[in-house]
Amino acid sequence: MEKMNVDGAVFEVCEINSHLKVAAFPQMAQKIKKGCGENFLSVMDGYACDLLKLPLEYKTPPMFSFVVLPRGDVFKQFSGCPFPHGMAAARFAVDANYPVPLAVDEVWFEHGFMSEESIERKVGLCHELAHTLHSAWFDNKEVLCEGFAELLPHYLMNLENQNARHRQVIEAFTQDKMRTVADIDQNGMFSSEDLKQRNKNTQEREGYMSVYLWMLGYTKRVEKSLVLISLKQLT
Amino acid sequence: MLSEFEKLSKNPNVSVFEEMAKLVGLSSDILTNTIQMQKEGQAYVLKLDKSKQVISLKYKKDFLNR
Repeated sequence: MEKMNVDGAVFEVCEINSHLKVAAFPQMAQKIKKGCGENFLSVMDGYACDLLKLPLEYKTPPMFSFVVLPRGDVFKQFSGCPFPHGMAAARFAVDANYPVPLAVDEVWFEHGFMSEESIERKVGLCHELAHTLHSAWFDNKEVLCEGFAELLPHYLMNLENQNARHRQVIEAFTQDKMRTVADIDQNGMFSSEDLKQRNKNTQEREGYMSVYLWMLGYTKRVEKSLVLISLKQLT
Repeated sequence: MLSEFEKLSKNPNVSVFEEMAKLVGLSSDILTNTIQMQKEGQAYVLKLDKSKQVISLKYKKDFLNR
């Protein structure tokens, strides 16, 4: 197994298949080799395969990487997530072409998905996988990164049409709640109100709904201009 | 599409805010307190404050349909 040294910590990298890799501390890596995390990986692989079918012009075939971390300070240290468990972009690259892997806590990884498949779960996890995808192109503007990660499941995968709850929330989103790009640039995705409501679905937080709408508007505009260019070329 | 976003992320002369605002239909000489723009079949409504910061970008229900 390939080994990586990150800030003095040693990780071992397990290649699961042609598009999945997992990095973990040696003890956990050994467990993964013996089948630990099978349910988690099977579910994530299903979503990854859906993303691979999207008509995006990939530079190289996408590689989705995960970093399995113990809950607590170690999770926060290597993920940069404000919460001590869950899933978030990791702080170091496992794959050179797709340099943003996803950090996942050991408990989640080991015990897999206890709940049944739902549209909200699919949207949330495809959002996370989208961060790995866009990292081949950009990873330096939070508004763009989170906007794309919201755009991918809702718009590119067209899950908005199946997601009645999100449609209801976003249609009821009031003007005073809409955050500006400048505000998010300066203060980050999580408003103080968002941080107080930890159990709230990420897709329903003000910052996430704001960047989604921004990116949707931007994308529709770009799509329109590209169509016009094509029509002009035809005539 | 990804390359369009990449251009945005790499342009040091234009803020993401300015570029996105331009692309969703704002012009640089907008000075009024509140502006509602309804384009492409009333796809969206934008409202700005005096400093041209977008305070609202509200989509009509059919905008989410494809």
